[in-house]
Amino acid sequence: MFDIINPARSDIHLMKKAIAAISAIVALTGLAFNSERWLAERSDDSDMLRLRAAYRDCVAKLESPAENVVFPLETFPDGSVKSRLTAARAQMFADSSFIWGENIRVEQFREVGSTNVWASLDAENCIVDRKTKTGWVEGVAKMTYGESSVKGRGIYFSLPREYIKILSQCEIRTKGANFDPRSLVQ
Amino acid sequence: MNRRTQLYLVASIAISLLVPLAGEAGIRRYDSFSRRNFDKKADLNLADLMNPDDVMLRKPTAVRATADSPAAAEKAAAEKAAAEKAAAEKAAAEKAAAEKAAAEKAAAEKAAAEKAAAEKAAAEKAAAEAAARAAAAERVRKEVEEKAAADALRREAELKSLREQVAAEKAAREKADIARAEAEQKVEKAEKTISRLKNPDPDERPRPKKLAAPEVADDVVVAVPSGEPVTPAAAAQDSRSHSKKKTSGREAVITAERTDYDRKEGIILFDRNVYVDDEQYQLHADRIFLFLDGTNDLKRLVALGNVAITNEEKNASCARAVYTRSTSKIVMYGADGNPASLFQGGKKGSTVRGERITFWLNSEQVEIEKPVVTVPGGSFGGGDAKNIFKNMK
Repeated sequence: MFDIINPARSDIHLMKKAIAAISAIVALTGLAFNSERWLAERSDDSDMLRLRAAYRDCVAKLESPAENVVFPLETFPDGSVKSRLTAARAQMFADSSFIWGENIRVEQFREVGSTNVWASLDAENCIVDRKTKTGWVEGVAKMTYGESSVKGRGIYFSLPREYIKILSQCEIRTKGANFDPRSLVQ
Repeated sequence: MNRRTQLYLVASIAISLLVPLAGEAGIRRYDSFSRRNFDKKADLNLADLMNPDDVMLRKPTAVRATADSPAAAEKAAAEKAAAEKAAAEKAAAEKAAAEKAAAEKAAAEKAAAEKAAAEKAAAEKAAAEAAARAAAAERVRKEVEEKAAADALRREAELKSLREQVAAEKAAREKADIARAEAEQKVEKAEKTISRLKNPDPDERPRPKKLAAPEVADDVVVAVPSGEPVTPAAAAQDSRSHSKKKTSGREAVITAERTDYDRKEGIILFDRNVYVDDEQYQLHADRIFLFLDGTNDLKRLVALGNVAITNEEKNASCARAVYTRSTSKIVMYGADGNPASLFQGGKKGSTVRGERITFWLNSEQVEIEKPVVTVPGGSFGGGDAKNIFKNMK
């Protein structure tokens, strides 16, 4: 048995080595990134398919949706609007937890009482499930953030998972990004 | 006067007295019967139905007028009173019948008027309902037309947006194709140069410069055994001058078929046909992972599958490339039978191949595992060969 109270010098040396080896293995196992595994973990599209089916159902059940809907999402401490949502048409369905909207725009204002928009999100047609806090954008959506923008067609998002998936025609424009891959060829 | 004559006389007197009485009684009885049975028919007058020639109805006025006895006078007065009473009753009955008829007529007229009023009101209501239905139908038609027009506008806008997107994508693809073609041309040119250098025919070899030192070798291939990395810095030497080129500061565009952003894990995936178009380089890969730190700054980039990086002077290709920001290091990995390669163009193209090529961006050093370095003929003579190992570790 190993004497913890008064170990021999060689034993301490061995113990240090063993701890270092175990730590390295644990660290490598934890840090190793497997892209295929990462993709496989996100290949479950059941919620997205559910939302797409619900979108079609909601569109079929539309009855006199509200027009020119505007309501604030966030406010500054003084009560002025920090971000707001506008929709050309929107309808809330009483028999389910879905909200349907058309030509949606979310704007984020820079300063208190200002109309200076610094970030915005535009989506053609959208459905949001209030219960699961997930949504589906049918058509094109574009998010502008400073000098950068993200655009795509067919977008699924989950607020609890903090996850966004753009299914096609993804385009990102950025200026002054932190990453500079040109260094790869310098 | 015999007895028979007396009897005849008494009988005749009795008959003459009884016949008028019987006639009066018969008239009254008949009159009463007739009134009971026919009085309801207001238009029928009993007197009209009587035959004036009827013997039973003939009044014995002449007999009573001629009678001068008190009993006869009383009887006549009674008869007269009865007749007056009957006439009064008849008049009263007639009046009641007339009043009843008038009341019935008035009621009928009132009912008819009410009916007509009700019919008129019903007709007006029906007309109003028809007008309301027509107005509602018109309103619905207008709404449908407006909706159709709005839908048409929306579809048109969508189509326009799609056309713009398609045009933009087409332009981007064309640009990428051009960049790729240029890169391929450069590679082809470099390969031609290499093959020309390897050609034993001295006439097809490039002639050495007049002022150049005597050549050590026409074609130099440096191969180092595996496990002994070397750090040639020739590529880095030239890149210093090229990297100082001025830029216009245009934005970089990244396109991909699919993108996943997991904010919790700080990972962005660009998948399928990823293309990065920057002012100074173009990068293509099948898949790119970006790993972000807590402030959404880039921590690490991993490009997977058919990775190709090009700019005006160089192009690099590998199966996998990893950039780590903290160490400013890029590691390019080759696959089986397809090593990572870096080609530098210019007047004298040179190629570096290896299982793994590592760049340290700050020190501009390069480390190659199992390297194969190909430099054009005359390089050593021009003094370039010294630079290859200048920054060797």
